[in-house]
Amino acid sequence: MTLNKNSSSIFSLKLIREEEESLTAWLCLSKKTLLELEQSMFDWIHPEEKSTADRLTFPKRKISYLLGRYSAKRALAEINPTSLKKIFVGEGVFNHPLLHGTVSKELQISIAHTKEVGAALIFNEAQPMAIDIESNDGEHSSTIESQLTPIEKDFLKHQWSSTFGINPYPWIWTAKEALGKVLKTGLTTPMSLFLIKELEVEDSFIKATYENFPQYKVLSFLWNEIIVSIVLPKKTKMILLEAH
Amino acid sequence: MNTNDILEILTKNINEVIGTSISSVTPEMSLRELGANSVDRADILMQTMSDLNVRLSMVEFAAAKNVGDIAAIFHNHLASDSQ
Repeated sequence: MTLNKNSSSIFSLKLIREEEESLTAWLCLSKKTLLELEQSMFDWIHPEEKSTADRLTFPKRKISYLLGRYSAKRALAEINPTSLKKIFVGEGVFNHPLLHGTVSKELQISIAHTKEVGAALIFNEAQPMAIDIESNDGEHSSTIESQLTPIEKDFLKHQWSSTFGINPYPWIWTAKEALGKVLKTGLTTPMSLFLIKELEVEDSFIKATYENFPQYKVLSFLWNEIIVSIVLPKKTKMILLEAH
Repeated sequence: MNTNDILEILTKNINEVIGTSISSVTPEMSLRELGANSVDRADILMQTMSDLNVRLSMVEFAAAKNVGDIAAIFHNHLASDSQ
């Protein structure tokens, strides 16, 4: 599935699970320069976020920080557009993002970035989710390949199809990193534990399951040559709709 | 090879991977604050391993909070290899 848009896209994710009320998550994907972010920030930035951003010296770190917050606020605007500056996206002890100041305490957030693209996923904690993104250009393929086990290399060789239009190495990185985020361990856990079990195309997504974490699956798609991978509970069906 | 030599190599690789132009990375700096994401971090570590002709598991760097910790891990490994 390839979705092409200009600089930002907002998606609603309808999450359906048997015998449960369906929930909605919100996803924002944004492509912005540092200048664009700095010019717009007074519409959405919390004072604590501004203070943190001002202390960041290196441009690449500053852009990743602001991209994550911008994407988060755009997604949150779908729920409550009037109080974005009162919402603070902070961090927990594992540098995982935390929402402060939202009306609902059940809301959680996952953030990702690559180059000048940011992603934020806002979801209800009842259905744990996480997101990771990587460029489809394959720039880091040799590094990623070196981190794979022989089984995984063989798996990609035989299971991956060029018809997917997605580079398998950044894809598998996003699949593993997103799982690490939902577990809140990140990649401090050996990557080999996040072994992919099965792979198929389902409802225009690339869908994969995990050998050691059977309760989760990952759904991936392409947006402006950026691979987007979302981890969610395996039994939850996700319908992605572009809001605007 | 001492820790400062390793820091020089790390500085070179950080600049190459992240696109910074830092003359000298200090031990207190973290790859995160320099702007490295997870795959950048893996790139930097892999290139440094190649430069130092060592092979370590990425997990060995999991507890490293900053560049100084990374350099120390490399230094300790090199020191134990040479014994």
